[in-house]
Amino acid sequence: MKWRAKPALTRQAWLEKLARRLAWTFPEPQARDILADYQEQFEAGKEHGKSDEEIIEALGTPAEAAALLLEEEPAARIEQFRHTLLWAAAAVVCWAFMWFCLMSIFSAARMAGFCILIPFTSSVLFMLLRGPSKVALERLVPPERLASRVGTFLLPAAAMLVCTALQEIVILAVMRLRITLLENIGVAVTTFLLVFIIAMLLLSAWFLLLSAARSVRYFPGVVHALGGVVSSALFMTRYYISVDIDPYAVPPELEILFRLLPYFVGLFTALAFQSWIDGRRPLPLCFRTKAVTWTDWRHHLGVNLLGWYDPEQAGEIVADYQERFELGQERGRSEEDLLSEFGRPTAVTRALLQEDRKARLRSRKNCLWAIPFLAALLLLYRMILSFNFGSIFFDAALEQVVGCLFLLLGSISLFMLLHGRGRAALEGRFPADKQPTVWVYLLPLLCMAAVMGWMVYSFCHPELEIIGHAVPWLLLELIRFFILVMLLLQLWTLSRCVSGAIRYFPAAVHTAGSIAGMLAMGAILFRLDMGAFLSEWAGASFFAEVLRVLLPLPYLLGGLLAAVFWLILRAAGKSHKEG
Amino acid sequence: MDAQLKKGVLELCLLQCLSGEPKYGYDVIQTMRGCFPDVTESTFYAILRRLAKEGAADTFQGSESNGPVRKYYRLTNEGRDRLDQMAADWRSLREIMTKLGIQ
Repeated sequence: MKWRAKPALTRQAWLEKLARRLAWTFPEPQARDILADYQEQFEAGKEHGKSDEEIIEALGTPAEAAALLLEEEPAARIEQFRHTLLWAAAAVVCWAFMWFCLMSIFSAARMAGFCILIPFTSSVLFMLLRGPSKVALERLVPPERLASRVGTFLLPAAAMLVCTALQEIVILAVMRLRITLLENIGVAVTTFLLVFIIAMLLLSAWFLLLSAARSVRYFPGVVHALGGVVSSALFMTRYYISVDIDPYAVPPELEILFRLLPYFVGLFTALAFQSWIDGRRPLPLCFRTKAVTWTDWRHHLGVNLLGWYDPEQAGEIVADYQERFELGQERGRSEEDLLSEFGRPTAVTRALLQEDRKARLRSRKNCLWAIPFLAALLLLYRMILSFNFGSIFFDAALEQVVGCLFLLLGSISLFMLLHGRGRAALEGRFPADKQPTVWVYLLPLLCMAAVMGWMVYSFCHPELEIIGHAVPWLLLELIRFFILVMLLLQLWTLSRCVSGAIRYFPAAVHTAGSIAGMLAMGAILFRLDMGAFLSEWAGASFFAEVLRVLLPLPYLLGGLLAAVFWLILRAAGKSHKEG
Repeated sequence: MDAQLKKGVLELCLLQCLSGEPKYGYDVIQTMRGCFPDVTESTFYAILRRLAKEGAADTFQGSESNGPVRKYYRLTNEGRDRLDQMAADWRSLREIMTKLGIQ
């Protein structure tokens, strides 16, 4: 048997293969620059009368070219490895949130949660796959084989349509014929949905693989299929928990729309990605590569140094670099050139530490604060368990105490781990680029106000029903939704604290307070015998009881701690400025 | 030629190649390829890129007699110092080799 000879690479295919490798190994501006240089090489070769085959032979394979470039610029590999690690961790967190939502008992909150999580997870996956970089490179060298819309849009849509139609037929049959063997039908529907979910997951994974290895134009298919998976998984878990054919207790004409909501969110997100990838709309700011500024670099150097040096020494080192930078600029060198010459802040710190062994020992003392921080994380885990399965305490109000303990341990240990005072002192001298805005504080406050308002309203009108549920029980749904929003805000504020300005720390504590407050309230409400509780409504002691049990004490403590930390940071920053 | 030995030599040759008038990237690579036919053009390009990144060479956009705008390379003062240093190293290495009887 004769093997068919591999067709020779064309200029287009060569550049496309190189672009794919560069997208994974180099930051976008560098990759674009390299690709433009190679395009120029091809054009110049042609002008000198060379054929594409001859030029390609002289250049070597795209893999060799990429490997040679990496060999000469090893820092790029480390940078890209960090990028992968960071976004892979973010993807894991997103999947954990999805799992948390899927396993929640109440449907409305997890529905809302998914509506937030689908675009969020898609964006994280897009970044993990080097989406923005690939979009830019594919504009320079468009892929030979374009992703078909039939695959990315029609296939998942048709599968979803068939699946929904079959579900509807089963539901109508059960309702019309009043079949008594409801459980058997439930098991059959569950099995069918499971097979469908696995098929959609495989489709999503296939698109993911294609967008990683071939072209980013397959990415909308990932998002679209993901919406289908979530929509079906949501319906299936409902069957699994209770064989209930009308799970959301909403009017039948709205029920199907309600059930398909995550799918539509996935579809619209996929359409948005399609328009960004096609270039019909510019990529949103959050996806664009930001050039590192001198202020960012200086700030990151300070943060790195504080892990080993005291604020005075760290300040001196940063000041030395400031002087070098200013001198370089006076000599007409660009900011980019100078930062590239200095190297990464971590590399600078590592080089300094090689000369100073004492500093390495100093950092170990601070690691002890990790112990109370881990204890706080355990308390948080216990609070989440209580929230999902009810408080384990004899007096449910003790949940508030656990929440307060978590806040105290967590905030103080994290402040010490992050070298809060040292960073405030350093930021007083060398200000960070961004500072928190008011809405970071306002959002948790508004969420708590909404929860408290709804609580008072629901206890005043216990007889009211909305979409088939008693108003007080919808309170839990609202709390669940706000907890998800607050957790996302918390992740953001904490990431800003670690890599941005320490001024975000009070906002992070305030947000943690609102999470702890809502978790404690939810755990108590879950355990509370609502009927017995409401029967005391007539009694004069009702408000006192509500206050004792449901006052969000951890939130109040979070607010107080945030104010204290704000004052500490302000004082530390000011004293250094004056010094 | 051994890869490690060649790598150091290629950098020196590239610096020497850039030491005169500013040169068009394609011409630099073709000159080098004429001297080292078994080395791929990508190898020269990767070293050229590193030299530019390290500040030894400078790039600018230019065109020759109404031709298309292209990337040109020229040696910086830092690059000239490096070339002098590397050339001195090369001369002393050659002396040692000659002393040892390696012609």
